[in-house]
Amino acid sequence: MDARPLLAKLSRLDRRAVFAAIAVVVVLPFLSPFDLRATPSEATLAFDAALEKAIASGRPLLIDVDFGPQTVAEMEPMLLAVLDRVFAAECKVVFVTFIPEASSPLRRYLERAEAKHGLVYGEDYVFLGYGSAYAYTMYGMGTNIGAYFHSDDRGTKIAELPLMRRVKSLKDVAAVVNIASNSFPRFWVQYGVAPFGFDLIVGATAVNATDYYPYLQTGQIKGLLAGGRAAAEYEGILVDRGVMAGPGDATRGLGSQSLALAVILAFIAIGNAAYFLGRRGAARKARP
Amino acid sequence: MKRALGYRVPAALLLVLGLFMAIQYYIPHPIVQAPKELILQWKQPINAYIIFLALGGLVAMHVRRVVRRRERWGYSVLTLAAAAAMTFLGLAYGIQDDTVFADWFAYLVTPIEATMFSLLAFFVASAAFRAFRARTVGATILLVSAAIVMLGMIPTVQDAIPPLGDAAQFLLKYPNTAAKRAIMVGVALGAISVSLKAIFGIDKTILSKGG
Repeated sequence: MDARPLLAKLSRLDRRAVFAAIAVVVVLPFLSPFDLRATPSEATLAFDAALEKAIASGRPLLIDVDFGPQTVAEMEPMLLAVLDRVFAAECKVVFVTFIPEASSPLRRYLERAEAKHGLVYGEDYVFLGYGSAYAYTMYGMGTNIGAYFHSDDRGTKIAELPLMRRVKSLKDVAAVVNIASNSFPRFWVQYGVAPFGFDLIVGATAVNATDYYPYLQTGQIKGLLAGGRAAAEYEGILVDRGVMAGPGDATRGLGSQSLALAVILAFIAIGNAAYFLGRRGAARKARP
Repeated sequence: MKRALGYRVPAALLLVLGLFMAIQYYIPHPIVQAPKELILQWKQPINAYIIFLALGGLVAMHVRRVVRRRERWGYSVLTLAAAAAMTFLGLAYGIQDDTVFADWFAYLVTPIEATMFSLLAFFVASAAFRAFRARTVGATILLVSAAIVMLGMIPTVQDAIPPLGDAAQFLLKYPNTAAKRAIMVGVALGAISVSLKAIFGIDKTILSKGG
């Protein structure tokens, strides 16, 4: 059977059909979920190991959350899994953000975590709020956090918060965890890790994660969650350990992500097959 | 006098502060570190000032569009109204969780931005279908690498063909790292060169109007 007419027809497919196909494969797994389990990559295992090491040290953590609404689907499950892990281990955490649009969602996540884990604000965790001039503030926090944040997100003086009496600078934290959809992990490397030498653990979007593999290789970043798939891998680790009761949103989204990738690959294959068959046909016609 | 204030004074400040911030990295003594801390702290109010400047620029641009009835000026009205409403709500009622500001952010800004970003998946699929062709050797290498990484990210494929998952990780870990590092080193050298030109006054455009 000659597949050329069919491929030629497919290669002229209206883009609305491509959109419809993507919409169907993204929505379908949410309506009829199927169980997918992602094997953790080296980077995810390194993330887990670095976080566990930081928790085991008994010192507080600093978690910098830098993602806005655009990347919530990819980043929120990552952050929620980390929150579950650190608060289940009764680790004290100082939160900060360097993008204004992250403040409002972060307040909601922390409110939920407070209720779920029975946390006491000021003792178990503190949210410093939005810090402007990110690179300068990151650099300055290495020696004196109070000089850059006079009060926290709720307007309480830093000196009045019991947790902040233990955390005067980044030298007092076990690690900095940066859950970011932008290039801020790079600034943490330049203005934090290089001058002060603390452990940096990063969660990033899949698109940005490729920028951080060089830092992971040199050890300037101790662990990396690379996108939604890595978040699902980490959720799997936490479910196995009994930290999470069941799979989270990243695992639920894995079906949509996998099917969408398969469909995009199928479209690329169809487009290329039609292109090569068309080219061969044209060459045959041109022959005398 | 005008020339001194317009160029020489800023250029001298740039020279002194630029060199100081570069040198302080290597001198941990308090004599150097104390002024460094002060300079870092100055940046926060400067940033607040920059935000006001940017806001002023945004408002001025959209007001001009509305006054001159430029094409699609209606969107400018919407932008100005939204900016005014959010500013008023934030200043009048606060920005904490139980405020109208937070609700508008959660139920308007968040879904709008998430929707805009999610459209990328559709455009990427359409663009890949139409334009991602193995026309040249370079394009073929790119296409094969992309296919391996994409397939390696699908758990069922990774479980069924483990070498594919390993190949995807290999591509991310080695060729990707090498290319990214080359770009990073190039960009860093470029940034050093541009900074030195600015600090030593070789590049004067940085202090010129519009620079």
